[in-house]
Amino acid sequence: MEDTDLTFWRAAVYGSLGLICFLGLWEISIRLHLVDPFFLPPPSQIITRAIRMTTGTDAVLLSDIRISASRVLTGFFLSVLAGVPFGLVMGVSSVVRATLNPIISIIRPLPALSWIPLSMLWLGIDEQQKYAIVFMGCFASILVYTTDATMRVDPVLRRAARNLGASDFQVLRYVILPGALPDLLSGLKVVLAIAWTCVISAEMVGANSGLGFRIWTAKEWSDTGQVLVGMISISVTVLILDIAFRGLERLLLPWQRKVSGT
Amino acid sequence: MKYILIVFVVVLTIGIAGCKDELSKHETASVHEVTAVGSQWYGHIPVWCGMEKKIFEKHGFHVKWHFIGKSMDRLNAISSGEAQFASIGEIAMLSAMAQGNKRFYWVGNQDIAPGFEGLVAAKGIASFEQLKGKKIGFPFGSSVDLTCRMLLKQNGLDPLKDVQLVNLEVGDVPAVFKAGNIAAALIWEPGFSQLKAVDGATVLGLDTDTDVYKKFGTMTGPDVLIIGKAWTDSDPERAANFMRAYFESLRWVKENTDDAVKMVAGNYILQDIELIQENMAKFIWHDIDAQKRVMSDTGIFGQADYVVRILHEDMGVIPKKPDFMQWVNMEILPFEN
Repeated sequence: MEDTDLTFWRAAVYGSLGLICFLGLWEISIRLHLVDPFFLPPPSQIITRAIRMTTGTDAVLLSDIRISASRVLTGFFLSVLAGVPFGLVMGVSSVVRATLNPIISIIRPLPALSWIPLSMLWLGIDEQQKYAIVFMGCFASILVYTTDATMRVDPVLRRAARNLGASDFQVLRYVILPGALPDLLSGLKVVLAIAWTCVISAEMVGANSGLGFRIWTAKEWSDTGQVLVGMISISVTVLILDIAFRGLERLLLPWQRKVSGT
Repeated sequence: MKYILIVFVVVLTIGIAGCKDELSKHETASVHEVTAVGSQWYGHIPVWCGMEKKIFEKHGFHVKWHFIGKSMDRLNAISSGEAQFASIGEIAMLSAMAQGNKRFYWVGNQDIAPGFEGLVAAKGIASFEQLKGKKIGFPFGSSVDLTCRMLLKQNGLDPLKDVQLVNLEVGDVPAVFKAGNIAAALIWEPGFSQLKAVDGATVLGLDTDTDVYKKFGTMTGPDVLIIGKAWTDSDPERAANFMRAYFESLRWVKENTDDAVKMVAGNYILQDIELIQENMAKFIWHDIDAQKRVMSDTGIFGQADYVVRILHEDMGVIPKKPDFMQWVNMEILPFEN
């Protein structure tokens, strides 16, 4: 059987149907008492709850999303600012790479959660601590993605540019950076999603706002409905950021747009 | 031929392993495994001593102990069916009831320990008035949550407007307070002693200063005993036997406090033995004879009614006032008359 590409609208229709079926089955399974609503509240209850948390007297959802998103973006951009230049240098210099690799190998496997006790002691429980958790969770990954993307740039292109008299900076600016950009942006997209897991961990302790705080507090009061509203809010926000990132990708990589024909 | 031999050996090995497993099941058929969950809090001492003194084993139970720091997490472990027995804070239990969790029974109130938690302010803060605009850290959804809000209100501060409340993990509270990241903190023992020991710290209020204590003589969120509903319903006699073993252990703790302290110090509670002894002297244990008195409208039920109203109407943290009597099951308690 041959699988053909679907148009955008057709894919959207199939996607919506899939989602409606999923939500319908979920709702029915609870209404038929197959699942205890305390463990998994039905979608109708979650939607009502989300509306109440957005428009009612306890309208905290939008401000929580804004606060968490700003923490994610701040920590993420700081790690991009530090990780990308370092990664580029590591990608082009085997000496720097050999020197820094052991340190990166130690930092990279550490989950963001493991930085919480130390970050609380070093930075307290204010915003800097949340940024630091996101930064530590993203930095090593960005560094590795950038190094790999840089190393994947065709060495023939670099040599050609040099033979044509390009300086080191010109090779970096006109050959390496554009060559590494597609892989780098794909990597950053993955890391942006990781940044959300970091901020949720950071907000679970020592916080009084944000989606992680809201989810954790709901857990303390056994409020599974609010936990799910928080979780869905994260998914929707990440989805929106992902779409925005794709737009940025299209803007920065016009040649890819032409190749893919989109 | 070689392959047939290999297959034969594999089948034989699996068969022997299966028989061995079946054999061990029969050997332990008379011993019931129970998973009990708890923290470092003194309220769990009867379980620890029951395990150490083999009281549970005498009644046919092998109790496995799992550390879970927060009451709501313990309650969730019971709800999932992975654990069967726990002592938790009353606030978490009432919240779960309000959310419709019907997977557990409320079977007792094993102790009262007033004065074991309070609001401790950092150096330079000597009054509630000085807390205005400052951060106060504690684990949300616990007894200290209620203690904090009640103390602030009683002293003219609005918990939502005049101060910033910060959610902290139980174990993080002393370290965050010591590091100077919050102006005040609340936690129960053993963390409470650590807060008081910080240089210049002042105790601004205890749970005994709250209206709950003044009206009912209990902490804001007393210890309660819960047991898995499915586990109990599947064999009520087994559950009753377990409660018999638990209260036997509690009685031993009550009658042999010094030995109990020696048993738990360093093993289950990481505090100096002198401090544990001092605290235990203030601890009041409710043995099986006391359960009818404390589990009554003039006892903890009246207090729970009052607390539920605060949680629902004043704090708005629970969606409705649960009829907690639906969860009470005293039929499995081993009353002698």
